[in-house]
Amino acid sequence: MTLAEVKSIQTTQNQSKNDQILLEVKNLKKYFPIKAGVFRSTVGWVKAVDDVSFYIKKGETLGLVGESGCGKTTVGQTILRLIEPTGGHVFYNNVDLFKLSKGQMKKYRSKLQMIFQDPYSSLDPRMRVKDIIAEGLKAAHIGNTKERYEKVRDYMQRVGVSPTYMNRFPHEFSGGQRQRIGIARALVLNPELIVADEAVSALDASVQAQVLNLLDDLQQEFHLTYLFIAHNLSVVRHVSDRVVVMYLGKVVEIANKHEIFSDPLHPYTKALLSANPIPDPTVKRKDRIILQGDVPSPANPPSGCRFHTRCWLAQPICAQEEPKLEEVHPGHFVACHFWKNLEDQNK
Amino acid sequence: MEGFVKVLRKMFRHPVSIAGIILVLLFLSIAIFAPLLAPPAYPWNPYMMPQSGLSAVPQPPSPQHIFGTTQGQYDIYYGVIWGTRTALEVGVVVIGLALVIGILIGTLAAYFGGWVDELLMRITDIFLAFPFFVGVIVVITIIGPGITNVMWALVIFYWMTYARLIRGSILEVKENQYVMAAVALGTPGGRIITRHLLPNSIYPVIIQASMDMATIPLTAAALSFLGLGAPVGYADWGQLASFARNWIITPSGGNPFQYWYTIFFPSVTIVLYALGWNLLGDTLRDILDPRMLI
Amino acid sequence: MAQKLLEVKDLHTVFHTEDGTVEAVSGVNFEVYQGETLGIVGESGCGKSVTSLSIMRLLPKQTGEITKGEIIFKGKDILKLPENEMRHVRGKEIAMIFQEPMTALNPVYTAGEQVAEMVELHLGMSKKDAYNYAVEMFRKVGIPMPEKRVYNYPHELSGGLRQRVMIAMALSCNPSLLIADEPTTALDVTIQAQVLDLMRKLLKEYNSSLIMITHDLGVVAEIAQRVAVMYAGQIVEYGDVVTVFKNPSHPYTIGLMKAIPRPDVEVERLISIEGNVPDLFHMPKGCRFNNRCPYAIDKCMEMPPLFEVEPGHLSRCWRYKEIKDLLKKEDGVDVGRG
Repeated sequence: MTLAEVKSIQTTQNQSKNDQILLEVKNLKKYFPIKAGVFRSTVGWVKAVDDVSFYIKKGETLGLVGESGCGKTTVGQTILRLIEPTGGHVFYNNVDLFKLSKGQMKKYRSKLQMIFQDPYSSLDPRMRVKDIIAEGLKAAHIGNTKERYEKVRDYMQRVGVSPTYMNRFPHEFSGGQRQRIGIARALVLNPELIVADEAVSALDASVQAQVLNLLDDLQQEFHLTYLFIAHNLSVVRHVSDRVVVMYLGKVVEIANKHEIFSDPLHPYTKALLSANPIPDPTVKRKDRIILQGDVPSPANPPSGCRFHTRCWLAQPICAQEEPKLEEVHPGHFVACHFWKNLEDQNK
Repeated sequence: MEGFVKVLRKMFRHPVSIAGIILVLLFLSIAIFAPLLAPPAYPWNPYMMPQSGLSAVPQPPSPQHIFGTTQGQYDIYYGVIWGTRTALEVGVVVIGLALVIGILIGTLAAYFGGWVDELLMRITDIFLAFPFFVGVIVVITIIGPGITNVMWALVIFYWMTYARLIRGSILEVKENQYVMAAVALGTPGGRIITRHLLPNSIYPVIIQASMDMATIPLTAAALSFLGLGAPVGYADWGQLASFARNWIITPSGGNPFQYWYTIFFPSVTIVLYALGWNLLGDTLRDILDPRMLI
Repeated sequence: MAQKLLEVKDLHTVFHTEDGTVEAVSGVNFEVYQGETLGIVGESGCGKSVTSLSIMRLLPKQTGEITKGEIIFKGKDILKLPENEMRHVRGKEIAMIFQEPMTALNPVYTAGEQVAEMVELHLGMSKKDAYNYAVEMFRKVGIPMPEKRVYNYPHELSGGLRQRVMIAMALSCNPSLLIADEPTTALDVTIQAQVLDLMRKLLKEYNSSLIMITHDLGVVAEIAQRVAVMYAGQIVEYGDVVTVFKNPSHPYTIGLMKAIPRPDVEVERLISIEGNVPDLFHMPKGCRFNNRCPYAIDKCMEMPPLFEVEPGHLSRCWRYKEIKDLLKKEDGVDVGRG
């Protein structure tokens, strides 16, 4: 099959499944206790993720973007139950993952995989590459040792690392190659959804492009669905079909990427776009928005709309009433009292 | 393989490491070949030092007793040779058991965290609250003296070091993303501990254990010196030192170092033994430093 | 043209490691003029940070060594200065801003004390004046409530504020040259925008020059007037920012520009540079980019010099003249997008 054929099949599949929701996150909450004193009593909670809802359609790439402390990583980790949620639901093919026992969850592990940020700490330095990639197969009791290594060879080839290196240790590889090994480790289990948490942010620009292209190819080949978590807007724009923007544990805007980038309706999204440096010295941006102040601590978030302390559109109501995430246009959700003003400004 | 060669190269670059390894190997071979080096006089109880007479005055080195004899005419050479066996035996048994207990408790505490951690670490603290030597002496007083009881008493008050060390080490290793990756892959908890956590956190413990191979037998020897350890006549360095204590400086005047051999041979042995294990520990610290391998 | 403030001539810096000696910087030349910002851009291991540490003479003593070259600062070769004179240059004449302010600031002193200490030392102010001056500097770098913040310890400040303290400290003695090594990499993008904006403003006010070391082409485009692109210990392209971005003439620069996704333009697929950055122990023979270069020819087995593409615009590529045509033939896309 040529690549074009694969692509055309993929597109028709995509079209037929276009509205099929693979994963739905509902009212997800994750609070971390703040402990203090001799007896380590809980004196407060960091609301890392506070009532977050979104869905991922089959075959799409959903970008999840926000600055440090916004809870995007925690969302990724709780969806896969790598850390236990405080509340909410995650429906995967209509099964609530949070209601499963740990044993039952094991069955879903292979379907929901993760690619990690740090290519250095995400591979066990004392294991050989073949054992790193085969780890999931072994845990799922798939095949015997020989069959597993056969698969390892196959997947190393697919991610572009020569299988002749399978007996090596991670430190013998470069950052980009290590990230490919991490991808092979997730892929070998034949997952449906891959959560990529800052999967390219630790890589050099030239290598980053290689890995992004690889992720793109693999999505076509294996009909993967991605939740792509990143702080880099340019990367998110490049890979995503739709984008979720988070700020201090809350979703502030969800839309398809063209709308997010051309017509952002939340002031935070707009500021984020405006802050992103453009690698072109001739682009002189007028009315550039530079937000004042720091991101507040998630342990003590501002009242009402959490963005109101830095927002140039803020009114008294913003400090009192928390705006709801509303669908203001089909498929475009925003949590702001004054999104209309911004829409007018955008015009 | 490449890593192994690198380790060897690193090891042989420093003459000090070689000295440590040679010393430890020397003592190991002395222990192994003790029956050849010093054929036992009482084959049914080889650890009893042969006694040639009952004279209270030590005898200087002679063809029969190349290191001389102690008061009570125990052969110092025999005591040094078989005492090596005693020392290694005490070291291996005490540290081995302490490692098992310590690693188990420390690993469970670090892996499960929460109340399990809290409970196990408070228990550890209780044991740590006793001053080591006092605790050991109290336990020996209760269960009675003897080399086996000394070992038990040492184990009871020594595992905490390892428990704390491995716990700290695992807590650090746990932060690595590969541990979370293993969870995401569905790897069972036991395998995460044995494949990921322990191999990456055990090295500080091994280094500590190597250093302790020097000190633990010396503690046992000290207890023997105090009369709490081995019975009189048991081949043990502490015992030899204890026999020598009245003869370090000649009690009756004259040449003050007339009985030098009584203290010289046992103490040189002890110093070399401790030195060997300490140097080996340092070498291990250098070569097992994960930064060097990665 | 403005006055030449710093001139680096044929700088060679090596590191002595357990596995042998490696050259991290091999023959780097550039100059910085009064009041301008020079961006040094490159990927990890390209030697950009080592270059800055060489200028400051802050290489690790046991392992790092400058084997060749001159660093002419205000007409004097600072490599020839004795260490005690160099100490007066550091901080007072040339100041540095680091990537991670948490490790660059001393955790046991308050933020204010650290700024005050600098001015006491270099400007000979009294304790009280130095303290007031620190408050003034804090205000200048936009730290809210400066009278209070001077009493904070570094760990009590956010990443953005810490970087502002670093900037306050660097500017406190009014140095003529600032060297900033990835000063915004550890910061969030909205905070990065604040810090870059602040730096731009202060540079103008102080008429200081800046060497901005970064891996981010966007940051260079925003703040620098001229740029040096480094690869594997060498400058491969050098020139005016607008010229280099519009008319890149080295395959590596071109590759880098095609490889990064842009926030303002959408492409179907990124064009990546194959392979990896060579490690210092295994440098390719000849042009150091030849093993990854799509345009490599036999000639590239020889090391190319820096050719002058146009006045002030240099490229270390044998094919610098034809590269533009090659590109056009290839995909009809003008990389410069101009």
